[in-house]
Amino acid sequence: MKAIIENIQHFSLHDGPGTRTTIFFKGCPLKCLWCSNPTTQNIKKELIYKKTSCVRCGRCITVCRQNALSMKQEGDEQFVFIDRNSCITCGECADQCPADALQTIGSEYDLDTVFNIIKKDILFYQNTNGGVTFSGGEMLLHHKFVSELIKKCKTINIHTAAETSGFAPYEHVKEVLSQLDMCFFDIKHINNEKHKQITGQPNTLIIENLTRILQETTTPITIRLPLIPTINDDEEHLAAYADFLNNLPRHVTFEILPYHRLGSNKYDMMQINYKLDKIAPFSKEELSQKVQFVREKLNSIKLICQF
Amino acid sequence: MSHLPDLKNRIQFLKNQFFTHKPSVCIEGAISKTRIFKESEGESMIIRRAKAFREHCLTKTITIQPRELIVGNAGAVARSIHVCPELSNNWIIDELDTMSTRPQDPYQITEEQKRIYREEIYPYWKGKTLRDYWNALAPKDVFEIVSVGGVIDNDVKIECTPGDMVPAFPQIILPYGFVGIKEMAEKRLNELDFNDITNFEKAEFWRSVIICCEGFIALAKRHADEARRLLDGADEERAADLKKIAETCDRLAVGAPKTFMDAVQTVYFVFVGLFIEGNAGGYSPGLLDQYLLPFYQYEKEQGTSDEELLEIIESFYVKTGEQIWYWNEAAAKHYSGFCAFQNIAVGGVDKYGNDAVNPLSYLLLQAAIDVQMVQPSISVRISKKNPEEFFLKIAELVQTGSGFPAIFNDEVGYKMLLKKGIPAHMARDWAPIGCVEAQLAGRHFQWSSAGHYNLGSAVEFALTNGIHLKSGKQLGLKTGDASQFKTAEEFENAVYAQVQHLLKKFSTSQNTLEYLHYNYLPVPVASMFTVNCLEKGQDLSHGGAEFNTGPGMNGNGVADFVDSIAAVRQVIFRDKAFTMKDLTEAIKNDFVGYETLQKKLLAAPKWGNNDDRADLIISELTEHIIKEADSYRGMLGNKKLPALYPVSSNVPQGMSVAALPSGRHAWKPLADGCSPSQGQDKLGPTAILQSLSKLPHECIDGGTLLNIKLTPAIVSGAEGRSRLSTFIKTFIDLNVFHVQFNVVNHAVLRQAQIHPEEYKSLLVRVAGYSAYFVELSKDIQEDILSRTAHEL
Repeated sequence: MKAIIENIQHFSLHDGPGTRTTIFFKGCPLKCLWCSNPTTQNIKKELIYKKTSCVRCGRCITVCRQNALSMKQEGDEQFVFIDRNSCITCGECADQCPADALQTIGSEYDLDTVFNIIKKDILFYQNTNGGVTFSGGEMLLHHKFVSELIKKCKTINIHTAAETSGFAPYEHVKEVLSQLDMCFFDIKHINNEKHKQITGQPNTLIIENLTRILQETTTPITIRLPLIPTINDDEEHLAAYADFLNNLPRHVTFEILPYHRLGSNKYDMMQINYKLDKIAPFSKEELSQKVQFVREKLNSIKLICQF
Repeated sequence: MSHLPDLKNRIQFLKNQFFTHKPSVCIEGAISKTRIFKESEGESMIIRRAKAFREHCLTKTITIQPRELIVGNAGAVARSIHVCPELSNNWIIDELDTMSTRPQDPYQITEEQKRIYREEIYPYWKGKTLRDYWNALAPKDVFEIVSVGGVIDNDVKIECTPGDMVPAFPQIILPYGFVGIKEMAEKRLNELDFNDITNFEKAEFWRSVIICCEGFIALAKRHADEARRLLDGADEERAADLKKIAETCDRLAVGAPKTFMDAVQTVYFVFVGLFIEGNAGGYSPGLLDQYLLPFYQYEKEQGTSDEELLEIIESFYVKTGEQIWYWNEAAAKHYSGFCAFQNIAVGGVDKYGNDAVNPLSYLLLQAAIDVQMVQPSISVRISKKNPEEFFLKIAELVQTGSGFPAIFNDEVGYKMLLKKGIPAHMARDWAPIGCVEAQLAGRHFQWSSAGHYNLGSAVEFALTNGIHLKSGKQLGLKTGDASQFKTAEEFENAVYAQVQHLLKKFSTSQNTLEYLHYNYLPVPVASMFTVNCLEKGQDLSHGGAEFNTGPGMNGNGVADFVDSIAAVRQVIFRDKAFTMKDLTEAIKNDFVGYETLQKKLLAAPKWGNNDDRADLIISELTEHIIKEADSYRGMLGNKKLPALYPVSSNVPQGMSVAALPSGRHAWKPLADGCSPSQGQDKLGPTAILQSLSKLPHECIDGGTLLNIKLTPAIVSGAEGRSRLSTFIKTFIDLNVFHVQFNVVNHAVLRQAQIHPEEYKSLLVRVAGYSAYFVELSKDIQEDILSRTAHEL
């Protein structure tokens, strides 16, 4: 069994308890405006281009058999343009690039390879109550693969967690979440229309999945809200969100993930526009004011926010 | 600062005062030594050196600075270098006019001092220095290879006395004091029977000890007198300090220390004395929290508060920072930062193997948090027997970003001593001295720092048939034309032949130096502070110590070596994408015109990523150097020790190495110690530790070193402390010997902006996301920089 993975990150400290290894699967059904991992959205391998590393030698253009690459001029700036329709991600150009300016993102891994990589840090998991976190992209696109990995992890007592958008057929959600030791479940907006505008998909399936999973499993769930200025941080929405959380069928934890722009350079590398260009992250004061606003409206639900 | 208690104000004042002193030259000792040596022609060297020591103690300028509690300096004033002409005459005359303006570690010097040096000091010592004897005695081939610079460097034992020791504080110094040691020597001298011819040498030793003790007693007495003199005009608060200083020094002039301040002042005087005897690094306080504990308990019985004791410790730290191990311009790059490697070891287990952490351990760490200076070096020995509070206190010190403490795995240090031949029931009393060198505190003579050889050069020579590309000289073995090598094994055999060749030359250079020290450089002060020398009546250089091991045979460029072998295996012999001919040409041309090859080499497996394809090469390398070092013996039958730590010599030694198959460019720094090559650790600290765990640390008993960079977000707050605590416990589990954390501060991030290629692996982490800092756009980098400031 194989899956396409963007990155495997050791010593992850924010994706669940303790020291963890996080597996970033590739492919996502949502297209959130603020996505900090745009390189994980497409389920296929992709070519990226780092303008600042490029030495403009043109070797990549010569070696490309698809004629997908060309040198473009925009103002003073010269760069290699990737025609995504022609590119088959063969990797030949990246291989020949002397400056590592062209790279392919995403590799196929088989199950045992990933499991062996997870096992490498087991001593750190044991000493810190850590483990593995399946993330992405949307790991549920690889539900069979993840499900098998969880089974393997359980045989040697590795703690398992996942981060999900919840947008998948319920059987897939249940298959994975029922086996996990904990799960981070995103609800990005309570309003269906708004949700569609900012993620490209409605929230009905997501909320239905969440409700059922809370009823049908005992897996601890942390609901996550990526809090984005002007997108979903208005008081009306936050109040509705708190109300939603208060009326869930069982206990959950709530985490606010404050907006950051660390991924914006990846949009450049993919030669697509970053739509939130003009939005600045919250100041500490703004953020704590928002957090306080929600906290006051919550009935005995723990709210976490790391800044 | 007004909200801080007054106690803190003193330390802040002393620190500010410290930074007003630019390091300067003191030639008082050189003048008196010249006079004494002229007067004592014909007497034995050990007596002449002892007399010179005493003379400086009797005649030097005594300085007590405003508000200090612990007093004394080897030179006339704080941060002055006490010039030892028998060691440094040759370079000082050459560098008199440039030493105050050189870029690395300059020393201020007056025109009058220059004149005296030229006219009165230099002429006497011309031809009588260790350097002169080395020039005359070193075998020609060794002399040539050392003279080139950067392949084998050994100035550390040509320009210096041995250093590298923990004085026997709990065994000799604190129970007896200078007076008691003098009495022991007098008693033994009086009982000697000169019908035994060997007793003449012993008598000379004991006489020299008596003379040195007279020096120490004079030093204590003169500081007491100076404190009393300063009483005139002192305000009430300072007058109380000065009375305390005078009482303390008076007591030390007549007997053993009694109070905590007595004990700390004694410890400090010992180091002043050692620096007077000879310019050297690695004079280390050692297991301070263990041997000062009785004095701490005495004070507690008297009702003294921890705050008062902390103030004494902090004063001691500032004074320790004033001691300078001085260097010529070239060597200052190897041992940069005015750093004398005075290592204090806290925690670990006691000699029985039980938890040794006590209230004083916490005070010593708190003092390091408060003072944050380059010296003393603060180390912790950690054992799973130590309490959680101790690990959290260590984490608190890591959080300061000072780079301290150096963290040592107690069990590995213990095993290193077993390998050196120290009996198991004594070996728990080990202390890290200098950088990362394990010694049995107070009982052990070991040149742990005795120069460096260059593993990068070994790789280079295997590719050039022994030619050192920088100088064009044939410094290596002729191992054959590398472009004709047909297998990886053939290449690696050539590399190991070059390693063996370098180690052999290195050992010869060390032997030459041991022979010179044996004949010309007795060290009565260091000897009388080492167990057994006093009983046996024998100098350290003649085998007086209970245990003799070393010198350390210290290699630079572990990662460069491993990465080079791994890259040749992968790119040339497995993928067969390029040939050995391509490689040798690429190396000669520093990859110009061979960029694609360089890219492939850089993409090969690298040390520090928990990847066996690279990591297991370390087993082969260490097997070679362990076996090789073990085949050599020094002057006293001492076993030489393989070692892998750089001090800062990975930079100058890198300047002597051409491009390497690792993909590293010519003349660039080598990787430091056993750490991964810069920017090549792609998987973070868990992978680094696990690669390092494949190194047989206990067998590299000369010391191994690892630096790990951490971003502030990882270590900040209570959560960060608990994270660090568990991380260093895993470090214990993995059997790694040493780790030091550099919390990446503003300055480092700025460097990363300027030299992104060296910081490729620097990760910035936030929830659900992490990014390579150097890949972020300028404005995001600035954003992170602005946050980093307040996180620290």
